Amino acid sequence: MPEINLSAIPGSVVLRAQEDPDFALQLLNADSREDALSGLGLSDEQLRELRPILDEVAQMSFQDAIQQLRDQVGVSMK
Amino acid sequence: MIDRQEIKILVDRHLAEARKAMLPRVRKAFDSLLQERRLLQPDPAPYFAALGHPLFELPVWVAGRLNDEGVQTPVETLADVLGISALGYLHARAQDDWLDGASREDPTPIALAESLLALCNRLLVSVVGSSSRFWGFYCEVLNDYAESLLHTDELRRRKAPVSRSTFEQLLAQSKPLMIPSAAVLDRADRWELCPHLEEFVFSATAAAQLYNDLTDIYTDRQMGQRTWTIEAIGDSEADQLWIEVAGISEGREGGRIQERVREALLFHQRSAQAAQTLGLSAAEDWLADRRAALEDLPRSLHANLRSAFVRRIAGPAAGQGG
Repeated sequence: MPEINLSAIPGSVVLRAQEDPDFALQLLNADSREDALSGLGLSDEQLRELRPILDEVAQMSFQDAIQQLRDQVGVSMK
Repeated sequence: MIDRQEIKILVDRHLAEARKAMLPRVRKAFDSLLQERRLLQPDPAPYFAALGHPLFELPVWVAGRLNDEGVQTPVETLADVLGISALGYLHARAQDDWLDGASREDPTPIALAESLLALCNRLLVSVVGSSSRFWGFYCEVLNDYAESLLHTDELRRRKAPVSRSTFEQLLAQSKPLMIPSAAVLDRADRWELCPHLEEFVFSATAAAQLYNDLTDIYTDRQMGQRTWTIEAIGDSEADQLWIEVAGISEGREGGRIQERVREALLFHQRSAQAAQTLGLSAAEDWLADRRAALEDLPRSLHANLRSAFVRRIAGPAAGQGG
């Protein structure tokens, strides 16, 4: 699994996510992401850079999530 | 009827005896396979997971059903049948490891498969003796299995798309899973139940395979292996699956994931019907657990995604920039 450049995520976003898991979850869902980002005072350029990184983090997280389910299977034909 | 704890003891006894019968190089490969499959270890979970194949419970359920009508299977016979389940299963996995291997230059998995087949057949003789009915069936099953292995290999080499009918054809590889329970039926002279056993194994394996293909979607793509699930979801769309899962909420289902779960549940329903026809009342809890696990898959995935995302976004490596 390739590493994501998490350091490109603004510190204010990381700090908020560390303190508030609900905020992190808002970032995950496309319906709530823009609202979550709007109050952080980020510039348009920062927001433009941030969106694809968040998508990448979400995609990697999904691979983690699916692997977790795979690990629960016992005797399998694969 | 023996319980899960006793089943595990009997399975482990046979695994330990098989290990002892092997020569050092094959034994080393066997140890790796056992470790990879989490067998002959203290944790009983991998032996009985609802989403795995009921490898060790199915013959016990069949023996229980026969017992209900007055045909007893002695515990020692059942112990040998469990040994057949374990060694036969690992035989197929060793072959699969060789087929999946990048170079196929290392013959160790094939040597291990040979050893396991010999040990498994010795136990089969102790259960069915020289029954021509059983051994005729055995040859047929292993020939179907062999043909299916070649079919799988051909598809992998051609990287051909896998349709629903191809998926079902490839399930012939699961036919050897019938062998232990078929031996119990042969011994009890209840061979007429075999078609129902075949239907149970086919549909139960299909449901589990769909679950595995879904949870292996990224690994399979990485290895260039095609599955019906990859075809159904769409190769390029697989990267966007997280969006559907992130949006799962009350009244909003998981799109393509939900569609795959529906397919798995249809096969599961068929397996439940076959179990009922077979009279496997002891399988009811397992069937209910499996149904719940399949139905819950989108929600479990959603929960796992949320926690993985929170972990990644707020992880210790984050927060250096801005």
